Amino acid sequence: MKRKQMMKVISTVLSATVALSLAGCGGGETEQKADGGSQENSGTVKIMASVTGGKDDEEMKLFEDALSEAVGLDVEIEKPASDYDQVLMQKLSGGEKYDLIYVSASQYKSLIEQDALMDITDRVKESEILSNNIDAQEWEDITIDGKVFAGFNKKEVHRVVALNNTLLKKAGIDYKSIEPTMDGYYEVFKKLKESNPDPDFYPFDTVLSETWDLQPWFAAAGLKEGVVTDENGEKYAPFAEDEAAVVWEWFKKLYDEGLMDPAAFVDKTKDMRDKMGASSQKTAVTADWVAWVGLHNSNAEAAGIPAEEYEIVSLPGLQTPDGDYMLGKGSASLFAVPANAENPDGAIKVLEYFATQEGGNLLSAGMEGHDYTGEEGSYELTETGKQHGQDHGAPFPIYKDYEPLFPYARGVEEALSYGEYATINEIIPNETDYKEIVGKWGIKIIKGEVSTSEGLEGMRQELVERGVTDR
Amino acid sequence: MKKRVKINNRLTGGWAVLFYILTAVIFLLMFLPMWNVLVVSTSTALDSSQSGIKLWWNSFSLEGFKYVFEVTKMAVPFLNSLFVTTLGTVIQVILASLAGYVLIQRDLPFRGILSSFIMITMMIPGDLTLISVYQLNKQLNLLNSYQGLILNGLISGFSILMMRNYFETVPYSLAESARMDGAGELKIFLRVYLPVSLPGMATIFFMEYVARWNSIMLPATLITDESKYTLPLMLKQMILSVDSTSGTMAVPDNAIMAAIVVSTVPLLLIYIFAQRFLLEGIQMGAVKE
Amino acid sequence: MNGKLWQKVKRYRQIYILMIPVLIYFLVFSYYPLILGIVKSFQEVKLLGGSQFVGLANYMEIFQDSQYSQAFVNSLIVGCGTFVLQFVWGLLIAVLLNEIRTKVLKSFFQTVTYIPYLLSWSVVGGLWITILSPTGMVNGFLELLQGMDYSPIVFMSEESFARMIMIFTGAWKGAGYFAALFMAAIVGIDGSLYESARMDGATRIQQIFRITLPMIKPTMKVVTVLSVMGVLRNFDQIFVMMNAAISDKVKNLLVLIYEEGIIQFNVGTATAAATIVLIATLIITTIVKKLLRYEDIYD
Repeated sequence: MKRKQMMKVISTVLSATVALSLAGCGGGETEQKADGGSQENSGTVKIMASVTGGKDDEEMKLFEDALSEAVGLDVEIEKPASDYDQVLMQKLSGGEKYDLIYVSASQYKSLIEQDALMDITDRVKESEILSNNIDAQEWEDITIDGKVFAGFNKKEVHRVVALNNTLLKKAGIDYKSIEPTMDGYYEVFKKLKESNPDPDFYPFDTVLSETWDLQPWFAAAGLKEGVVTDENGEKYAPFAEDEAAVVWEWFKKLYDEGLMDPAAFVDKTKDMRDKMGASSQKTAVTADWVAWVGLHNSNAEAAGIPAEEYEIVSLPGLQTPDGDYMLGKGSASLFAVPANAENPDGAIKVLEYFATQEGGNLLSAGMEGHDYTGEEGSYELTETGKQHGQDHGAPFPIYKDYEPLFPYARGVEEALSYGEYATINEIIPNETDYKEIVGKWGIKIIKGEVSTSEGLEGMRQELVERGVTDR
Repeated sequence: MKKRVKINNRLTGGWAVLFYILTAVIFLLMFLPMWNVLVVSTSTALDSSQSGIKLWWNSFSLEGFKYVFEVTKMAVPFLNSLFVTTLGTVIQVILASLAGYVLIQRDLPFRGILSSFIMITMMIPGDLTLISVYQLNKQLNLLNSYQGLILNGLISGFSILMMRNYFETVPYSLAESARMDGAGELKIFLRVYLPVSLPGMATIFFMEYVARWNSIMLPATLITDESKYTLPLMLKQMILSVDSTSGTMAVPDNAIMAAIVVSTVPLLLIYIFAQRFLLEGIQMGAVKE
Repeated sequence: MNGKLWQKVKRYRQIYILMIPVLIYFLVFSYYPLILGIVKSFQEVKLLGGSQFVGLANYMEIFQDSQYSQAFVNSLIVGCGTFVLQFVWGLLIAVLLNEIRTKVLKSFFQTVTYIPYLLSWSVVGGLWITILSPTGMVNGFLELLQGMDYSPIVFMSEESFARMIMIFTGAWKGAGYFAALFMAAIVGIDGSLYESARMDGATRIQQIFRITLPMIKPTMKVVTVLSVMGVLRNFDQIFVMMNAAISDKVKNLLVLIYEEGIIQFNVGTATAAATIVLIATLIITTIVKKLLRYEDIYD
């Protein structure tokens, strides 16, 4: 045993010395290719990523090389094939060391509670790029008790109300003139249903089983999705408050009159999107990500369906009592720095690069010469690039003035323009519980198994029992 | 062949009708999924994203298969799976037969303890000890290696107990008389027990093959190096939903189904092989005494 | 020590050697991680080290949480229900198979019934969700029966159907597998038994009940005991098929542990719950073995 420990100490010291000397003779030469030993680089940055990077082994190498070259460090990216959460937990508790780990907002909170992340507030403040290239609001959203523990993977966009314009036109509706009230949309749904002979067609669809984005609808009562902290510091869920009753009853009316797809109780988002897609068109109004507005259109285009026969457009949903709109913004996907990171400075460099135009190009369009070719101003996607859908981790990069290399798909610009109405939900560790409980009672209310007030009562009670809210 | 007695070896009357109905119902009920998967896998991307069950083609297309091999590069994980599964299962069957043989020795001291020792391993909720399993493999330097993929799950209590079950059908007296003749244990095992238990071994081989072929949590724990991916890892990555973030690219349904078809074919082939072996009934369980 | 015992052990030393690789394997790959896990269950585990022993706190947390007891009940009901249905269904397939005389048909039928077992739950689960959806096949069939004013049932959102659906689909997926186990035993039955029964004038159906079924009783017992060990270990099916509307009725222990432990990085709680699953399985298996007089045959 003793001998073994000795060996351990010696090897640690040795490797530390080597690492130090390498770091010493590194420095400014950032132009060097990161081939093989790459003594020129000033250290290694180990990243554990979920979606960021190349799509396969070869491309991942290209991605690592490009990133290494750009930041002047040896970047190593590890990417588990599946079950990212579980693998991340195994690796961290198994003693693996990373400089950056990809986490969702909910995990971010859990990890901070476990003291597993490093406070990088000062490093962020000192960095001009991080402070200037990223909206202050973004930083505020991930500041917990005055501290920041992570940087950004991408800019989170929002969800909008997506509408099938072709079907709307058929029903004689101009989508721009839809009255943004519950009654207004109700009339639209009715006309859509009447003008469509398909018995399986339901004008409105959502995913209640997962409490998929209901924000654009609950805006009518001015209520915010998720959990909110009140003036007394107590957490509560606005959708479970009595003020929410009108909207739940509106859903119930839609369900009772056959305007809402009953499958909304059980479907997953994939089913909802399939129904919205050009080949099905079993529904006409859903809430979905900005990107999906474009995807529906470009998928149809790729299959040779012209815009006149299928077009998805977007709106910001219902108006609040104050005449505003409320949309849900994606909760942040982050790169956090673990508390035991060996190269936090390197980690900051990578985060800085992600917040530049060039970094944004890499994370969205991909590698020059591989995903796209050509001169500035006249870039063209290669076959590979097209398949990769301009997403190498960040379809919308975090850099606030980012100029996309290629134009967005049809409909995306319009959907993006509603961004000003979007806010993120408060970060809670037990988001799954929230969704399950609100969904469960919401379904009961809509089905009429319980009265609205009973249902909301039950919802509130269970939220408190499971530790999601305080009242 | 025993063509001699033809009377009474078939169902008659109402029983025969019931037999046909039951067979037809069960057949339809279980045939459906395979058919649906097959149809979707050979549809165009757009058709395959249509909601609902598809039992017939709108348009036939092999683009899903093309996608699977060209875009997701399925060949490497396929070969990896083939290699580690085959080697691992062969070793498994050998070791399981040896252990099963040990467990049928009637008055072997500590036999009860040995069987409990094996049984308990079957009750461990495997998915939940994965954190420790990861640590173990790290200590043994088995992460991201074929050895790791083969060693983990090399033996299952299930196959040992099943082998024991098959050995039990061999009359004990056979072994005893061989022992009287002075044969060593290994010889008795090889000469007396193995030949008789071939159908059992084929069954175990196949079942363990399937389990290993489809195993996902262990490889997910051990492997992050893409060149060592196994098929289920790749499949899961394809199916992986993009719900939680504003991510975009989704793999078309026809490609997912094509990948499922491709990954099921080896199992089907082995099954058909093992099945011939079983059903052509080397009726050895019943030994001439 | 007991000299006689030692003598016996010595006599069997060749036999013990055959077992050694298996023993080593289990010690290293099953028991060692298990023990590490049990140790963690008594700790408040911090992911990056600095774990502290907290005694039984993790266990207390679980016992005080009504979610876990509900999940335990769900696990048991769905698990046992699935087992029973799968057992009967598998037996039925095996018996039917045995009556098919055409080799090709027989092979085809067996392959088809086995395929659901080869597919993963993410495929099979998704498929059944579609079949049971408002526009799915089951509702289409009911509409045919009841006519135009039929309003579709959203099966997957009805609490009263939830467990039945899980049991049915679980059995549907596993029946072919059980059938294969039973078939292996049926082909092993001595043909002369049937012949003498025929001589005595037994009809085919009598032969099935008097010979086939009794002869595969040992296999039935093994299958029962083996499956009981897995009753509490069903994760994939529920994970794929559960939704908010029916979660109260079907969410089982492993899914709950996954949600509460893995997703929120509570290693201590997750391992404590896992240890409880192991102990509960041990108890259930022991009871079932006693009930079946399993030991009489094998130990």
